[in-house]
Amino acid sequence: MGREPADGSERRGLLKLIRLVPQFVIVLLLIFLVPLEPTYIQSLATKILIFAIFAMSLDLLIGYAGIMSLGHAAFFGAAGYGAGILAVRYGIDNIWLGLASGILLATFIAAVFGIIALQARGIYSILITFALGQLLYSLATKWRSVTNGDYGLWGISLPALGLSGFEWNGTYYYYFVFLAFLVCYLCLYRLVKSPFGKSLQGIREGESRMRALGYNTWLFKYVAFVIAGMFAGVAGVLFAYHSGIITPGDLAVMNSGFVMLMVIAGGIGTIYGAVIGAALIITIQYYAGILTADRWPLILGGVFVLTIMYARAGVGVYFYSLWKRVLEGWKF
Amino acid sequence: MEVLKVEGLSKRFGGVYSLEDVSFSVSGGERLAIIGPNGAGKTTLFNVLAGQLSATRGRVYLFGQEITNIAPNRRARLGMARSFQISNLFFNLTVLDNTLLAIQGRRARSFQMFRSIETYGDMFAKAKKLLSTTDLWEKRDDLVRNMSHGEQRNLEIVLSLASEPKVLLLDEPTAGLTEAESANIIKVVSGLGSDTTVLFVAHDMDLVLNVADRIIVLHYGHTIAEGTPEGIQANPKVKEVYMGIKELAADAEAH
Amino acid sequence: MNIVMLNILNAISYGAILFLLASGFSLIFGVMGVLNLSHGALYMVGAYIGWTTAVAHGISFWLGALAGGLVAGLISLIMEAGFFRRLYKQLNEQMLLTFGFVYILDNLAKWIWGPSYRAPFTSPALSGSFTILGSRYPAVRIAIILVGIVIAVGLWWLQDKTRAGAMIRAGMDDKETAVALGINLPLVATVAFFIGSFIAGFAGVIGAGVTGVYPEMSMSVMLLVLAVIIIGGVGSVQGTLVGAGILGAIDAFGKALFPDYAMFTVYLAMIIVLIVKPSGILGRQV
Repeated sequence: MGREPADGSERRGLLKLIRLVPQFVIVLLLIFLVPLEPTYIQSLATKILIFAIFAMSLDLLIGYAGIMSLGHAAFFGAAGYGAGILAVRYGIDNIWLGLASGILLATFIAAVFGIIALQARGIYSILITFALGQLLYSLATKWRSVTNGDYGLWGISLPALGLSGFEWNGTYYYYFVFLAFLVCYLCLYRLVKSPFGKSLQGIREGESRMRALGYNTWLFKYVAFVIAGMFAGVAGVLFAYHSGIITPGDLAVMNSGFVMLMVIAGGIGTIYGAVIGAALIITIQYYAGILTADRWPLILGGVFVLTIMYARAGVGVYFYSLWKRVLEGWKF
Repeated sequence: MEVLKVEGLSKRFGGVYSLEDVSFSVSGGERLAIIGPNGAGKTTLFNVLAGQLSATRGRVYLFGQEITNIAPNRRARLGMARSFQISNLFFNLTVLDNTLLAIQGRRARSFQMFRSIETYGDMFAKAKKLLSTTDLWEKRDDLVRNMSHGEQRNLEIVLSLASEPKVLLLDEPTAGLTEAESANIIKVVSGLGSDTTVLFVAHDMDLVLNVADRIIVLHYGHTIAEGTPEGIQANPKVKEVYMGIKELAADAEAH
Repeated sequence: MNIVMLNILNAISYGAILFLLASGFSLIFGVMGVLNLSHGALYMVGAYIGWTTAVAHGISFWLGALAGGLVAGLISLIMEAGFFRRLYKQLNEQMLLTFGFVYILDNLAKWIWGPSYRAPFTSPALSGSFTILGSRYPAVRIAIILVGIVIAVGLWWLQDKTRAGAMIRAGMDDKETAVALGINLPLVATVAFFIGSFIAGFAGVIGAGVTGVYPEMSMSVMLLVLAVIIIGGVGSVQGTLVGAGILGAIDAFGKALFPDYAMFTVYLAMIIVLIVKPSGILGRQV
């Protein structure tokens, strides 16, 4: 926050630690409390963390780089299919290979789509991301020999970790996902604070000025697009293993909208916001689904509309500012 | 040494020529003022020189290399920097962030993804030095959109100086500033060494007469006069253009 | 008739539906600046209303088309008055809102009409075929072409020859000046939104003879609209005509030449246009 670096005062160090108390508490809860809960809660928590990774990746694009994308689920779904195809069609029983293939596929597709999407300006760019997302959806429904079409690729079981004698269960997978989430969170957190991350924000705020300052803005946006696609891919693979099935709908624009709701609900332009948004929306979806088996999208749509109308600054941002005020009240 | 050369530059928008057949050159370390009535094409000229607009005809050379069609960011990398007449700042970022972005603009470091930008002590020191020249260091954590107009204009200048440019284009640097703030900017610009060549667009005669080695007068997109401050002040054509405007205004008031 | 002629007629009739859809969308975007992603859902709603009127209750097909348009228009009024108006000038937020509306409309449609596919339906008078150039050609497609022509002419006349059209174009170009000239832009926007949505709902019924009706149509239809916009450019009737025409041709000949992959020729066309002229063939630089 503009504080001069290498300041060694003890109070400053303590201050930094105190600021992080909410994060510590949440992490502790995630590590110790969740595994004690019943299976369905663990499964919900796993799903939340997966979508948190997905949402963070989208926030990098729309919140930091200022690139509006309606087709982000394409990378998520593609990675899921990559992992799924490896497991179901080729019977490869290795989770690391599954992760690698899914993430590589997502990154490759992002590299290709990025060139096309960033070619256009303004609304055409947004429309192209929509079209590219639907392109992959069409591919998934039509290429039945590989993707099993509309039925989805089912029967994806968790591949082996590589440790002899190790058997997966819900709790172990939860920890695995949690670890992945931590890694992604830390990576993205550092990324947005780095010169690269700041440059993205500059491009979002004033691309013409950035160009006048010497930045090759297209390159920055492209790299951001590919990185975002890569992280979406991580989430996609984890999702495929968690659900056991991947369907064309996971690639579709509606899923892109779903994750965008999470980013907005949590607070655009903050990494933690995406996490909170994911937790919020997945929980609402879950309980809405229990309330009414068929009408929950209606509830989701309502939440969507209400969020945009009344909470678009983000619930996560709201809580964070509350916390900051508490700290100021205690003279921290 | 000829640092910047402009040959037969023209810019057309639809049916209107904003610039027509403008030619001049600038030598190293020179301070060149571009003046003229409103609408004369001064900002358009800067936009074409810096690359925000493309020329309809003509060529631009920087350090002997033709830059007529190259992108703005590449011109910046060759050592050109500019300030904008209408503040072109990053309004939702802090003053410090604005400055850091300007400082790292030409460097490959801007691609670094792993260290927090706050850990680069050298950029910090540079930012402090730059912002202190305009009393903005204390406000470094303020969001630009919350600053006063004068502070924003000052930041605008700071950003253009951050890359230590060899050729600096200042578009109305003192517009909207108080007397004291203007005097400060004049001091800052005067203090730039002979390694920096400065072109500036201005209406502020104080700035022009104090700083300029040479003046070019534009009118309806044409250069109508070129010379030293004394020469321009005595130039009958220039007087006519400015007088004509004064007369029109007087006429309008009388009726 | 020979194959080429058949495909040309297919191209024109399909293009006509696309034109109807895309022109409504383009109108809304042009005046309000909003990307109404629920436009496809409005087409679907119109189709369902038309089905209910014409098939379930046996009332006149054309009345059903009118009803479809009116319901779609009514929904748009609710969206505008209840929501868009409160987010004045926040275009990204308005676009995201339309996403939410898709969820709602899609699910409502499933609730009211059930999740299964409804067969293509049309007016009894049109269910036969005409003999053209020695072969039979479905009457419904001829009707679609005619309706398309009528509406195209109507929109073109509105755009270029009326004061209302001038006001709309002024609003598209420069909102501040338009307001300064005394043009009641909010009213113009509301009316344009209504007209655009009405056309979508109306098209849903007319086009149901070709596309059928099913709950997942919203986004598939939306994609086609976007393809027309990307190819033809947004903001003018002429642009939409060009885009719809090209897309109709690609679809017809694509289906004839590579039936399984016709969809991908559409994407290919979009990508090519994007590379060559990013703002569409007749589009203005946005």
